[in-house]
Amino acid sequence: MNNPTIVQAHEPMTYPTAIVAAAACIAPAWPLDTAIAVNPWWPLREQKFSDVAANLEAIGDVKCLMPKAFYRDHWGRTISKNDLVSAARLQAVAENIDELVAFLDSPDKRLPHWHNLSDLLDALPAQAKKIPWHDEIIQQISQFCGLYFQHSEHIREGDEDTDSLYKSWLNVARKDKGIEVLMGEPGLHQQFMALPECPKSFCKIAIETLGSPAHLDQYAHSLLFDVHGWASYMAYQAWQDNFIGKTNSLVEQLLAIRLAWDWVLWRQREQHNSDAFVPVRARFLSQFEQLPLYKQLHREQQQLLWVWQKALELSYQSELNAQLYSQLKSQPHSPLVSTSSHQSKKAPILQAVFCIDVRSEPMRRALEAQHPDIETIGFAGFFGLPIEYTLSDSHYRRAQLPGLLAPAIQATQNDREACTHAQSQRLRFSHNQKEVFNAAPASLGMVEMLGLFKVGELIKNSFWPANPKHAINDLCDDRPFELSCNGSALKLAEKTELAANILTNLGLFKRFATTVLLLGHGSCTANNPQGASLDCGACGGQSGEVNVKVLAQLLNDSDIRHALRHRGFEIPPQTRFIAGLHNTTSDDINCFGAQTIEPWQQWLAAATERAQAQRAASLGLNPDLDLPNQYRQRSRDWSQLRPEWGLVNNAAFIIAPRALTRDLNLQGRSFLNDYDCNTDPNSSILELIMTAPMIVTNWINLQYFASVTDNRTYGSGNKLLHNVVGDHIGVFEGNGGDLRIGLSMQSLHDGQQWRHTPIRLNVYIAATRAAIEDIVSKHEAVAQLINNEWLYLFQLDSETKSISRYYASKWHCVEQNALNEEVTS
Amino acid sequence: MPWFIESYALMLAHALVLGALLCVKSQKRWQIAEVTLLLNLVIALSLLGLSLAKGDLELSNNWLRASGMSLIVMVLISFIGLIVLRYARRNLAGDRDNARFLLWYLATLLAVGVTISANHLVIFGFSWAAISLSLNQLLLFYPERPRAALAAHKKFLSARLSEALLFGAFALLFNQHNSFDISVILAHYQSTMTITNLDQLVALLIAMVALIKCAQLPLHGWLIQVVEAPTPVSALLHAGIINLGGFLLLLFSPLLSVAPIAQWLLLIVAGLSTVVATLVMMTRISIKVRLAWSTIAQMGLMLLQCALGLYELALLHLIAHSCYKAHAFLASGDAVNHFLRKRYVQVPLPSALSWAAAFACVVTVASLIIAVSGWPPVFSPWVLITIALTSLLAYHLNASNRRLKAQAFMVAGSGLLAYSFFSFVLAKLIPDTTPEFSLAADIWVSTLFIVMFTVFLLLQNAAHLKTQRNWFISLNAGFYLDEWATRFTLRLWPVALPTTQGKYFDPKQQPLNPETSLFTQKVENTL
Repeated sequence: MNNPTIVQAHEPMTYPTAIVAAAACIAPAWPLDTAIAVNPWWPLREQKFSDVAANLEAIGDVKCLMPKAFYRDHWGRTISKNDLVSAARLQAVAENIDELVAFLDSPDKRLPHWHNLSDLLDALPAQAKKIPWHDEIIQQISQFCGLYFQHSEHIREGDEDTDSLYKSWLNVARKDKGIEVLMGEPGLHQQFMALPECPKSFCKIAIETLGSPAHLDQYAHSLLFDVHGWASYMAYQAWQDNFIGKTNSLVEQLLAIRLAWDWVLWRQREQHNSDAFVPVRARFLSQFEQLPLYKQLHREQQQLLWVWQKALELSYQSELNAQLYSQLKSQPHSPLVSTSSHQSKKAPILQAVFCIDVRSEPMRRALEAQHPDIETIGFAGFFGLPIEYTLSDSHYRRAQLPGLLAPAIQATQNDREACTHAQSQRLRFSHNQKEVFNAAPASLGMVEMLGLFKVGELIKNSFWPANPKHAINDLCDDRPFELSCNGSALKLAEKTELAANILTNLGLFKRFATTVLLLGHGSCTANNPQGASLDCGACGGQSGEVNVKVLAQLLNDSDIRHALRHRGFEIPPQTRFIAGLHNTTSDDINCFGAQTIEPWQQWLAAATERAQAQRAASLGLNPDLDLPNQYRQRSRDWSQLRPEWGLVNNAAFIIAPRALTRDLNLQGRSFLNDYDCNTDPNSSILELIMTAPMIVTNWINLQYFASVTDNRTYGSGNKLLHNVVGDHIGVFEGNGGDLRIGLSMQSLHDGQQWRHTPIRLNVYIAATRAAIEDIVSKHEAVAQLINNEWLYLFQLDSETKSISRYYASKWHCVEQNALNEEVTS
Repeated sequence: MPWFIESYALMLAHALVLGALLCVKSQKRWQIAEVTLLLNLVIALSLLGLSLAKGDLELSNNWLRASGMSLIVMVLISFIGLIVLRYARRNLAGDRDNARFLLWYLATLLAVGVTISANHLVIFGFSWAAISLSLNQLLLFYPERPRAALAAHKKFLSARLSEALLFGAFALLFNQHNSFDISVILAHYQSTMTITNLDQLVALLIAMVALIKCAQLPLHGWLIQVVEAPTPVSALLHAGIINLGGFLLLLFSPLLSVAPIAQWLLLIVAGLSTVVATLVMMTRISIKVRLAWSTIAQMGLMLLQCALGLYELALLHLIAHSCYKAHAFLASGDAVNHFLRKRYVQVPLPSALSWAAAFACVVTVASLIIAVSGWPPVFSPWVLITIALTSLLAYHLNASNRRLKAQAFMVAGSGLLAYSFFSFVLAKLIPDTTPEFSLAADIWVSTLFIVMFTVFLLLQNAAHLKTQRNWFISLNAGFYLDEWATRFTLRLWPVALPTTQGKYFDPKQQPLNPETSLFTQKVENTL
C-alpha cells in the first residue's frame, strides 16, 4: 500500500500555468433546456478582436472573419465606395479601392498553422488508409464525456474527488481494449497503463517530456479546440459553480485528457516506430518556435479582410446614422429634455412594455401604428426580477433571468391540489409510459403490444398537428405567485422595493395609462431541441411568461401600490397591469386574465396581423392565403427546421427615448431599450443598462457572428443530423464527434444565402458624454468591449444634434454624411 | 378473381409513375410524389381488405405474387413511405440537394415495392440488390462526413455479401425446382415435411441473408454509424428497409419451418444480438444511437420469432416496430421536452416492492388465463410479455396516485388485448405451416430473456458494484465487436476515408520532412 501522505507530497497542488491559462480561454455553453446566447470570445475580450482573430487562426484554423467571396458579394450591393474608403482610412491601410477589390479576387493563400501531434501523425503515408487519429480521439473523448455526465453512477470514480473526470476517463481508457484493435496499434494499451493517476502531475510530466518550450499555453488552447464543445459545456459547469462560491477544474481535466492522447501517441511511436517518428517529432517541436511567425502571417493576411469587414459595418452604420440624424434634427425639442415635459403630457391610452429583443421592434411599430397615443417601452424581458420559477409539487426550478446573474427570489404558484392537477397527472403518466419504453428489456414486449398505436400519432403529426406541448410552460396558469427568498416569504417592504426599482428603471412615475401591458416573449416550436435559443435570452432561454405575471401581480397589489405612493409613484387607481406573452413564432399576443373585450385587444389583433404580413416574405409564406393559419401550421410542424428566424441579423442596440426611433423602420435589427437621461440624474440606470443588457446583446450579437464565420467551431452544423446528447446537454451532428454548441446552419442560412450578416453590435446611447465616460472607466469589461472593438459605441447628442463614436477614450464625431469621423476631444 | 392480380399490377404501374417522376424537374414533384404514395396506400389497403373479405390469400402469375402477408407489408411500406416523405419535404426544404434526396428516396421505395411483389427469383434478387444500392445513396447523402463514409463502406461490403448469399440460395433453388416461380417453390415446401441437405443449405443461406440485412451482431456497426444521415433517412431505414430480413424469412417460412439448422443459426445469433443490443442500448448517450441499438434488438426478436415458427408474431412485431420506430426517429427532437418532464415529475426508479407487486399481479392474471385456456404451446413470447407487463406496472405503481394506477392497468389490459387480437388476425394471413415447436429452442429463448432482464435489473439497481461498473463499460463499448469488424473490413478492403481534419491539415501544402519543407521556405519567403 502506498502511504497517502507520501503520494500527496509528490503530487503538485496546482496545474501548470499554461494549462490554467488555456482553460480560461473557453467561454461557457449552456445546455439545451436553458440555452442562451454566449459570446464565444468573452474570455478573450482583453485582447483586440483583430489579434484574437489572427491568433485563433494560427493555432486552431478558426475563422473570425468571412471568406473573401462573401465580401465580394456585398461589394457594390451593400458596401459602397464611400464605406470602403472610410474603412481603409480607419484601418490605416494604404491600399486603394482597386487594390482592395483585387485582393478579394485573388485566391486565398494557405498559411501554416499549428498542428497537434495526432494531426501530424495522420499525415504520414502509413496512416492514409486508417481511421485518422484526430477523428478517433475526438470520438473517444466525446463519448466518454457524455457517459460521465449522463451515466455518472456507472462511470464516475471518486465521488468527492476534484480530479474525478480525469480519473474516470483513465479508468475507462485502461479497460478499453477496442482502440488497439480499431487502430491496429498493438501496445497502445500499455501507454494508458503508464499514465499517472493525477492529472496535475501528468500535465507536469507531459510538459517536461516536451522540454517545456515557450507558447505551451497556445498548444494547450489548440488541443482544447479539438474538444471545444465539451470544453464549453464544462466551462458552463464552472460558471454555475461560481455562483455558489465553488470552483471546479473540469476544463483543466479535459485538457489533461486531450494532452494525454498526444502524449500516449508520442510514447507509442517512440517505442514502436521510432525511425519514422523522429522527423514528426522535430516538425512538431519546431512549431513552438515558429508560432509567432504563424501569427504574424495570419495577421498580415487578415489585415485587408478587416478593411472589408469594417466597410460592411460602416455600410450599416451610415444608413442608420442618417436615419438617426434625421430624427435628431426633426425633434421639436431636444428629446433629452422633451421627455420630462412628456411626463406632464396627458397619459397615453395604452402602454405596452416589450422586451429589448430585436423581434419586439417590428411588433412595437405595428402596435404604435394602431393609434398615435399608444406608447411602447423597451425593457429587458426579465423585467429586472431576479427570480427562479419553482413548482410547489416538484424540486424542479428554472432561473428566469440572464445567465450573467444568479437568481435570488423563488416564484411559486401555490397549488394545494397539485397531485390531482390534470396537467401534472398527464405529465406523470406519459413520463412513466416513456420510461417503460426506455427500460430496455420491457421495450421489446411493449413495442409488440403498443407499438401499433403509434400509427395514430404518425398520422396526427403529419396531417393534423396540434399545438406543441411544452412540459413546463404548460404548467403555468393564472394562479397567483408567491415570492420567497431562502424559504421565507417576501415582506411588503421588500416587494415594494422590487416594484419601485423596476418602475424607476422603466421611467414610469406618474404617467400611467389605464391599461399597461407587460409583454414577455417566447417561441412556439415543435420537435425542436434548440427551441430555448428562440425564447427570451434575458429570461435565461425561457418564455418570459412567469416574469410578466409576477410583475403584474406586484403592481396590481393594492398594498404595494399604497406603499409605492409614498415613494412618489402615482399609479392611478383605475390603472391595471396586464401580463401578456408575445409569441415570436406567430406574432400573436396572448394576454393573461383579460376577459372583457376592450378596444386595446382590437389593436393587438390588428398589430399581429400587420406584423405577420410584414414577416411573411422572410419565411416564404403566401400573403394571399390565410396567414394566421400558415403561421400556426408552421409552429406546429414537427418537421419544420426554420420555424422562425430568431434574432437573425441583429446589428444595433439603441438606448434612447422611443421618440427618437418611433418614426423609423429599423427592420427588426435593433435591440431597443427605452432610456431617458433626465430621469436618471446619477446615471445609475444607464450604468445598469451598460453592464447588463449591453453585455447580453453583445453575447447575442457575437454568438450569431461566430456561428456564421466559423460554424464548425462555434455553430452546431446541420439540423438534419442533430442527435440530442444526454437528454439535454447538447447535440452531436450525426453519430458522434465533438459536442456542438451555438446556432445551427438552419438558423442562419436559408439554403440560398446567409440570413445573418455578421457585423459587430452598434450601441447608441442618448446620454451625456460625461456619463458614458464615467461608466466605461468604472467597468473594465465594458471598456474592453469598446476599446478592443468587440462592439461600437455611439453617443446620440440631442443638444448638439450629433452622433459621435467613443473609442480608445476619445470621441470621434460621425458626420451626417457618414464619410469621415473626426477626433473632437 | 382474375382482376385482382391485374389491379395489383396497376398499383405497381403506379409505382412506375414514381419512377418516371425521378426524371421530372418540377417544383411540384414533392406534391406529386406525395399524392402518388397516398394513392398507392389506398390501393394497397383496398386490396388487403378485399383479400381478407374473399379469403383468397394468395394469387400469382409469372411475375407477380400477392399474399396476405405481402399485401400487409405493402400497406406498411406505403404508409411509412408517405409519412416520411411528408416529413422530409419540410425537413429538407432549403437543402440544395433535396432533389437528389427525392430521387433516391423514391428509387428505394420503388425497389422495395418490386421486391415485395415479385414472384420471380431473378426479379426478387435484383430488386433486393437495388434497395441496398439506392439506400446507399441516401446514407451517403453527405459523402464528406467520415463516419458516414466508414459506415457506408462497411454496409457496402456486408450488403454485397448478403446479396452473394441470396443469389447462391436462389441458384440452388432454381437448380432444385427448375423454376423461377416463387409460388411454385413455396408450394413444394408447404406440401412436404422432408427436405434434402441442399434444401437445408438454402435455408441456411437465407437465414444468413436475413441476419445480415437485419444488422445482427457482429455486422451491426454500420447501422449505428449511419445516424450520420438526415433524420428522414434514418426513419425510412429503421422503419422500412431493415425489416426486409424479416420479410424474407416470412416469405420462405414454409422452407424455414422444416430446416432446423437454419433455425438454430437464427436462434443463436439473433438471440445473442437481442440480449446484447438491448443492454447496450441502455448505456448509450445520444438519442439516435440509442434508437439504432434498440432496432438491432427488435430485429433480433423478430428473427427469433421466425426461428421459433411464430410467424404471426414476427409479422406483428415487424409492423408494430415500424410504426414505433418511425415515430421515435421523427420525433427525436422532442428529447429535451422529455428531459424537462422527467425533471419535473422526478419519479424514482421502481422499488423492490413495486417490482414484486407488479410481478404478483401479472402472475395472477397469467394463472387465470392458463386455468381457462391451458398452457400455451410456446411459452417464450409470454415470458417477454410478462417482463413488459411487469415493468409497465412496476413503473406506474411507483406513482402515488390512484387514478394513475388505474390507468396503468387499463394500458396493460388494452396492450394485452391488442396483442392477442392482432396476433390472431395476422395468423390468418400467414400460410398455414403448422410448425412443430421445439422445446429446446423455447427454453433457450426464454433463458435469454430472463438473463437479459436480470442483468438489466442489476445494472439499474446495483450501479455502485465494481462488477456492474465493468459490465457497463464493456456493454457501452459493445464488447468491441464493431472495432474488430471495422479493423477486418479495412484490412480486407482499405479505403481512404474523408476526414474532418481536412480542415486542419493539408499535406500537399505542408510536407512532413522539415529539411525540404515547402512550409519553412514559405515562412522564410514571406518574412
